Amino acid sequence: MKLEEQLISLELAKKLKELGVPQNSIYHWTAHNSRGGQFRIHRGKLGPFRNSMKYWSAFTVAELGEMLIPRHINVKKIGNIWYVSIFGIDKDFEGSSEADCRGKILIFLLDNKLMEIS
Amino acid sequence: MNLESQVCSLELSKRLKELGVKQESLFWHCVNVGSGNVVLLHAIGTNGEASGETCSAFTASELGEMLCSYNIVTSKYKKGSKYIWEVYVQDVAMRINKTYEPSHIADTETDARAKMLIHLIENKLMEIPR
Repeated sequence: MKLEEQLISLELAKKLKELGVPQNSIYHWTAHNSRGGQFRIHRGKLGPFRNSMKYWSAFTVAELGEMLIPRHINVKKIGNIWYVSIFGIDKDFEGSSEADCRGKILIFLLDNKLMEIS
Repeated sequence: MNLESQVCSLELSKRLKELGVKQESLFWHCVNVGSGNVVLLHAIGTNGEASGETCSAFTASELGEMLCSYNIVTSKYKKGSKYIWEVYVQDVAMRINKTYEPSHIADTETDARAKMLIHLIENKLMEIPR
């Protein structure tokens, strides 16, 4: 399973940063100014490069699980599509990875003020 | 959240390897035969650095992929002074009968998933992911 399949997509990562989610993940999507803004995945601390690039937390399934709790999370996969729901919200969030589904739930909860950022 | 709490523990990783689960993962536990020290290696670019006994340190994503023939239900709650993760699984037949396999608990979601996978393989409720 590729690393990219285990992390939230760049698009969702950008949205979560916009919503004020703390950027404290193991992996980050980065765009170095010196490399023409090409997007890459960076592992570990951003260190001194933090100021010379744009970055967005590329959260993992485990990190997103920590943020979504305390809630029951229901996960299933049909074909190549993942469906994730949480108890109390009558909606399935679908995506090409479990991380993306969890990210979409987090965005939904924050957009609808159903949870606060801690 | 640190990396160590995002991959399954050495003990569970060893058990999954013993059961024949395909050793294909982003991270590896590596136990130095001489010193017994355990390090966590990133698979990318670490070939050759693994001078010891290794086993796949699966992530929650990787375990989710292996469990994906089931519905996976996860919750976290406070038990005493600490939080516990609990994982249930349900397949189509169980959904019809409204039953679940017994749940498994652990300090991390990843370990709870690993315990569930071990339970399913040991009880021949799923094929070994190879």
